[in-house]
Amino acid sequence: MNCEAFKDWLAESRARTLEQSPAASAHVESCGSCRQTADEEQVWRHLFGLIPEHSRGPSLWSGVTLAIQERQHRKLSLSDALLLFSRRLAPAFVVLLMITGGWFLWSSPRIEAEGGSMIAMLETSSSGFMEEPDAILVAWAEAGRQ
Amino acid sequence: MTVTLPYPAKLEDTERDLVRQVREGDSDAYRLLVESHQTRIHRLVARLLGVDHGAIDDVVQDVFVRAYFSLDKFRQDAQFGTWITRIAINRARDELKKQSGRVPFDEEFGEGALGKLQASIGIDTADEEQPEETHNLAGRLVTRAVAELPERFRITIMLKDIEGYSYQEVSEILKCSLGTVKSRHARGRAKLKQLLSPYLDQLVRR
Repeated sequence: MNCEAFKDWLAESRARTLEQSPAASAHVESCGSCRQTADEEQVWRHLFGLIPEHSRGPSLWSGVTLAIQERQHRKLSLSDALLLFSRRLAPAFVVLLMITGGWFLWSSPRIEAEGGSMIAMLETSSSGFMEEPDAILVAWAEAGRQ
Repeated sequence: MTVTLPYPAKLEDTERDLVRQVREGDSDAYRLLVESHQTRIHRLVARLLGVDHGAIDDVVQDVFVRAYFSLDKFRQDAQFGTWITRIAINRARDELKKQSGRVPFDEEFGEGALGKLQASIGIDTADEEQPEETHNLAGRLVTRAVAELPERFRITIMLKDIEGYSYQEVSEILKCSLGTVKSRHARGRAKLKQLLSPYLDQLVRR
């Protein structure tokens, strides 16, 4: 056992003592540094051993099961409320959908009419624009002849 | 060589089965899980909050209730004990944040801390005449010194040195690297040594 392996062995569990491992004991006999580490570890274990054991807590199961049931009931109540709400809300949603749909259908032709006028406007402006290249070409041809 | 670990390997398979049964709706299985971990979790929460804290039982109960409703999120590659210990630490942290007027654990202790420590546990040389009383005082002194550590060191020291987890288990509980755990442990012990140094001779002689 080398120093690193000894330190790992010692740190692995507080229940470990040198008496439990001949290899660890042999290493400590030949290594002053690890002897010191082992002695320090003993001091720490002693100090932590002074901390009083906390008394066993009460049986929690009855409290835990009540709290779980209460929370489950609360969850259930919430889902019931959502169900009831959605049932009452469903007709209202259908009515709203019909109103919205009706309004959309009613307003669609007006959009088309407005679109038509816009197309007419585009056509007018584009035809005006198309006249211009012709005029340029005519002028260019005439200039060529001259 | 017999090695006592806080979490015997043979429990793992049993607990996996119990968790599966709880997920299938068996409340008796959860009762077994609660009863096998409640003492350890109660002790840990009491040490994190302080044994005089009035809400220990409520916090521990809440830990098991939270765990029950989060069981779907529990991955079977971890141990149930590791997972519930993490929930307990987080819940205790939340509880500590709620408190006002308590000395913050993250605050580094200053020069007057030793005096405060001595005054707070009421060390009196006359008590040394009474072994039982002095033993209690020594225990309270070490407990209080651990409580004075910054939170990251305190939790590591508690899990490793007081609860007896291995470095690997502490790293799994705290979800941090093995190197970080070892570093926090060493630094925590160094601070503890500094804090206890005036009393070390007396404590070691006990």
